[in-house]
Amino acid sequence: MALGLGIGTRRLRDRNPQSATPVPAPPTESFGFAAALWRTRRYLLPELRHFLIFAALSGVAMLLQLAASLVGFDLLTNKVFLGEPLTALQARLLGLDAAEFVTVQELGQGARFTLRTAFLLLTGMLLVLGFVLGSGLGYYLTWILQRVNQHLRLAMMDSVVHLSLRRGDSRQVGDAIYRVYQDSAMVTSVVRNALVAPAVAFFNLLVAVGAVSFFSLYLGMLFLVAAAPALLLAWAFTPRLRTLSSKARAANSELTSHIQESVGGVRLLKACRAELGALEGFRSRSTTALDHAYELRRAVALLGVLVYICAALAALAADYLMVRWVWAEAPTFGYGLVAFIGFAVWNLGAFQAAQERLSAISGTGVSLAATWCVLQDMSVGLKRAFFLLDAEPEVVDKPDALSMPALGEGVRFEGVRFGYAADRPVLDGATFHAQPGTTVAIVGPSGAGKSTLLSLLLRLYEVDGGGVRVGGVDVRDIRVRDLRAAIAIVLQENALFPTSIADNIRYAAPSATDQEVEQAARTACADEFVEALPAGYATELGERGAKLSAGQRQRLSIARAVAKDAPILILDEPTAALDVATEQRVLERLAAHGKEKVIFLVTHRIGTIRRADQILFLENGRIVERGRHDELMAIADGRYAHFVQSEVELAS
Amino acid sequence: MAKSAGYDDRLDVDTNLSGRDVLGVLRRSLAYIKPAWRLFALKFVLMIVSFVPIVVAPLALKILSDHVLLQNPLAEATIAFPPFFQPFVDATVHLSPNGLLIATVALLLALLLLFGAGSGAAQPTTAFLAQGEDTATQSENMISAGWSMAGGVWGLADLLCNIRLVQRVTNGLRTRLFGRLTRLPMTVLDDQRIGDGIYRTMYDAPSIQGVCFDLTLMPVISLLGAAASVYVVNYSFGDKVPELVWLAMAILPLTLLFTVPLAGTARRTSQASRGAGSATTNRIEENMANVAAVQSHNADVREREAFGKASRESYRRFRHVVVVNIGIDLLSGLALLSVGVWAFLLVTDRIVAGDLLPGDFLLASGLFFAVAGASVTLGRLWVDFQGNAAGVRRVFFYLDLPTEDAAPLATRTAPKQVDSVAFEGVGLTYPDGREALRDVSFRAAAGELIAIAGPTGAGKTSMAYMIPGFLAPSVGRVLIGGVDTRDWPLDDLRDAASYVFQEHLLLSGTVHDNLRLGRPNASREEVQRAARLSGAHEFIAALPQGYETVLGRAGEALSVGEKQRLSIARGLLRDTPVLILDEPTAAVDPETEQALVAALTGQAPEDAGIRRTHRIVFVIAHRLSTIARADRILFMRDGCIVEQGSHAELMARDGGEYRNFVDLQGGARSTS
Repeated sequence: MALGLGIGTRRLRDRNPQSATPVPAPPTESFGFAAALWRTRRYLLPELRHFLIFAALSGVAMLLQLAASLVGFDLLTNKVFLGEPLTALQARLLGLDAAEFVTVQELGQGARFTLRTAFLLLTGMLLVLGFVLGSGLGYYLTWILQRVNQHLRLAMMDSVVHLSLRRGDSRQVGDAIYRVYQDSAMVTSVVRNALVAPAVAFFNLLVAVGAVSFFSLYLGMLFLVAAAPALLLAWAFTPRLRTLSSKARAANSELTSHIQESVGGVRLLKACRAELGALEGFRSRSTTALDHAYELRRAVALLGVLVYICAALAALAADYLMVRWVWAEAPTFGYGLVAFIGFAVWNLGAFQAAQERLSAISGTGVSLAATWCVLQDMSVGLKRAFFLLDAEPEVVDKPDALSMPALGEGVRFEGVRFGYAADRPVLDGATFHAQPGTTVAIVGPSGAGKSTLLSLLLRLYEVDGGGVRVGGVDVRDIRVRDLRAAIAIVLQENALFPTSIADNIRYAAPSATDQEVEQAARTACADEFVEALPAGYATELGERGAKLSAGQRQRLSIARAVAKDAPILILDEPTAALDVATEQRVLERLAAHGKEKVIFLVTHRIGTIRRADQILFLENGRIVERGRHDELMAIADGRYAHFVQSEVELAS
Repeated sequence: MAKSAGYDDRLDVDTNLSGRDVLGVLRRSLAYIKPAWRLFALKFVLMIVSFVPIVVAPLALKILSDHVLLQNPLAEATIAFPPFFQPFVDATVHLSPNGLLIATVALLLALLLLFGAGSGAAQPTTAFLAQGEDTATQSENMISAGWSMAGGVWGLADLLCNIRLVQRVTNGLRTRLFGRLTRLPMTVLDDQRIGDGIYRTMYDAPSIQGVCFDLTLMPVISLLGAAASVYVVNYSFGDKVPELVWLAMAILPLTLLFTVPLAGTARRTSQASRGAGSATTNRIEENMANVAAVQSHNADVREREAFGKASRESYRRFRHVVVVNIGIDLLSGLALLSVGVWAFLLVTDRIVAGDLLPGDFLLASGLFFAVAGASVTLGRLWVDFQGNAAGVRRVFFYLDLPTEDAAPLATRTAPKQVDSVAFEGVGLTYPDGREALRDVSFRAAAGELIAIAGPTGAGKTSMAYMIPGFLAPSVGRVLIGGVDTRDWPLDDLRDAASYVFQEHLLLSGTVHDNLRLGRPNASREEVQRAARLSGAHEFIAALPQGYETVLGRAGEALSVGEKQRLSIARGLLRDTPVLILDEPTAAVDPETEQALVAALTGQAPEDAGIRRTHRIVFVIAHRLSTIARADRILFMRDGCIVEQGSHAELMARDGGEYRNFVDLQGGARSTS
């Protein structure tokens, strides 16, 4: 088994005992918002100051707008259009002559034009202020929320990268991309929609209901009555919204995975002529995703329309009542408080001002309903995002973990037991000792536990029993970061990144100079082909190093490990894709490079194995034979001898 | 890691877009509406009718204000009511104020239920869901976007029709794009990142709805809406305030004058934002795909920083888009303000003079807002369209790349029987100038097992890629069954030659489905036979659900050796006249290898030897044990076949390249 690939199918089974789908079942249960917001606090708190500034500015803007609107309706309708005289307070505030504006029966034309100019100025100021505050606050909020989202994305990336391999690779990559990208945006949306938008809407509602209540308490009560069916509707829609949202997200995630897999494995699709099948798969997934999205939006729109009708019916009833009050010239409820503007009794200006507030209430009702829908959608998104964050790294440092000790006596395995699943032990009591300056070859049939053995040295997993010691210290007592920094690996499957060749070699040792990079390439015999490339070490590689042959990729991986210059070197089938001549040269150079190091070698090639200082023959999780090539060959009917025999027979 | 910020395109580097390109993009986009034309027509009708509340509601409010509240007799109205409203006036002119109040409220109630317009302007219907602060998540919303300027029953119908229409059109484009992505030649795909492919399919394709509707439905609707409002202004105020009509008509050109010049800037910022978003996706993709490498090399801190940088960059670019939008709002707002103040002065003059009533101000401002709204929409259309055009252009870029079957192919039908593979003077030069193959000639007849050997980088895989047409020769020709591969219908060619790759690509799905990928109708027995031959049957049978076990993405639950055996089984199952195995035995242990080689050479114990007389098998191998049993060995070096012959023949050549190669490997032989 290759490094990190010992993830038994049991993991998949554990996750989904019944269904056969590799996608984790989408969480459908509700997710408390209090809990969600509590969890986002880590990403929100650093921006608290900005949120407070934003809230203060928004509140000021809202109150200014209300005042200006009330004063505006009074000025324009009551004074300019209908010619009602000003109150003494108004005239004083505007600096106008009481004789012309207050103590008259009806305002003269000149006075009305003066007031019209005042109205224009007031409205102009309001527009400018509104635009500046509106745009400025919008930009400001975007800026704050982006910062929050950035905190979260980084936390998620961290979590993904730190995940123990045990979980990391049994999950669909496309799904993870979708989560990080799409669902982390949900957290920003939670802030915008679950905190900022409702706060603004509630404040608006409060101000509007307060304002109409000043005109008449009946109006305020009317809206309380209208709120009841609206709330009932929202409550009734909620479970359906959640289910639909969950389905829509899962379907989209599935679609992204399909694209990812198809584009990544396009050669295979071509070779098997399965392009049409992949297209069919895309089509059906895409249609499903769109259907779910449609159903979700239909429910959202329906709720919005119904809630608006509730609110607007109340507003129509209010219109009817207000007309009657105007006809009766009834006093307004708060006439003592609003007396400085001309709304002491019901008149056209009061009607218009109240009507405007009423439609503000209806609009707010609709936006609250929309917010509610968005919240349901987000609660599902959040659940998925936290699902990833909750996958804590399995291997964690002890609080008093040590730094990497000197190699000293080398690497020791003592009765190591390990299994990916409790009932399927992969290693069952492995014991050996590798001294510095020696090469240990690990040999055995496929699935014997070779790569797992090395994964334990890297501490990609924790042992179930026994212990692994490096320089006399148990690896569980060493900081993971330091331990892995001391081990260089060449994996069987070569992960190259789509950057330059030099950057790829430098990957594990970012500070390596150009000379060191080239030296490493020489050790790995990669210099020959790299220097033949037009751009040499600066050549950019395609996805997964697609432009290079497998052997070339393998040599680059070796160069990468060499550049790291770590005390322990692990080579997992390092030369499988190399021809024999190249392999010999690479191994010779590696041996010279690794004089004081411990080298582990997993391979099938006899020519490579027989040069090792110690050979461990693994079978069914046990080291069944151990020693030098000659020693093992001398065992009558030995497993290793048999293995060599079968290889040699084939070649002859 | 050097190029992580900014554009991350290798292929699509020329991202500038002129006005003419934009129009070209539009023309092509329109073709995607065609299949959905019925929905399109329905949407058009629904939209037209939703203008009713925009012209009717202000009239009703005027009546409420002047003739109900202020009790001016309706018969002495200061303005002329437009013909469509006259029936309501005629019916109510004799009513008492209270009767008129009830009639008006009833009218408003009807408008509310039907169009969502209560005692104010109509409440638009939308169904936007949460979206993030970047282009990617907003595009996600866009694919199921819908909007109706009305509410109520009508608005709901309008919105739902809109969403379906948008989805239909977008789906058409993205399905086509996906089909194209899998049909691109391999040389192109190597250059392109997977993340970019996803980004284009998922996030760029939705832009097409913007391109289509912004320049078809929206301008027509906006113009009609503006025209209807101007008509009412003219009918009602034309006599008393004729200047008002001219002002209303001036709104549209003024708005356009102020917004259009900014269109180019808007386009560029939007494009930059998309590019940066794509770079971030790439970064995530790399991290996820290489978790093992990232973790074991302790590179997570640097990866995190690099990702953080890419992500920050995408945010910065998005904020630029926000700023440009604010600028556009500001300019169009200024244009409207100047006209609005003038109209305000005109109307209020007449009210103060007693020629008009306060309700007429409501009516006039309602109509002016309608014209202004339509104009701003129209002005913004061009701006938004530019951003959308950028997205769609990125999609079209892919659609325009030549596909591998676009060449003048299929001039001949595939031969009935494939009895030979022949290379005649084949050379291959990569686009970057590297010469991979030079003057390769050989001929393989049915029944032969041919080994391709040679040092790494000799061109073995490049040569083998030409057989199923993954690569085309730069010079010379490759003949399969006597027909040039370039003359073969591509699908038939791939059906004639199976290729088992060196990297073992498995798809998510069951083991069974993975094996049958190239032959979906294979029977269970055939699948198992292929699995037995490749030595995969035993471990599959030991899996918890056997052949029905679901493999994770890229088959990560299996060891390399196991994946390799599955790949081989898949190749064997296709049962094609030509079979190419690229390093089939590199990661299997000697006993499995022995079984496979036995099967290849027809010595398998079962009667199911995969090498029947009609089949040609190519094996690229490094292991001597595999090579030595071939009927013929092609030994390659530096892109040439330097020696060919059987193992015995080549070993007989003193100082021959192959013999040297064998001698080097001899470490194993000399021990026994």
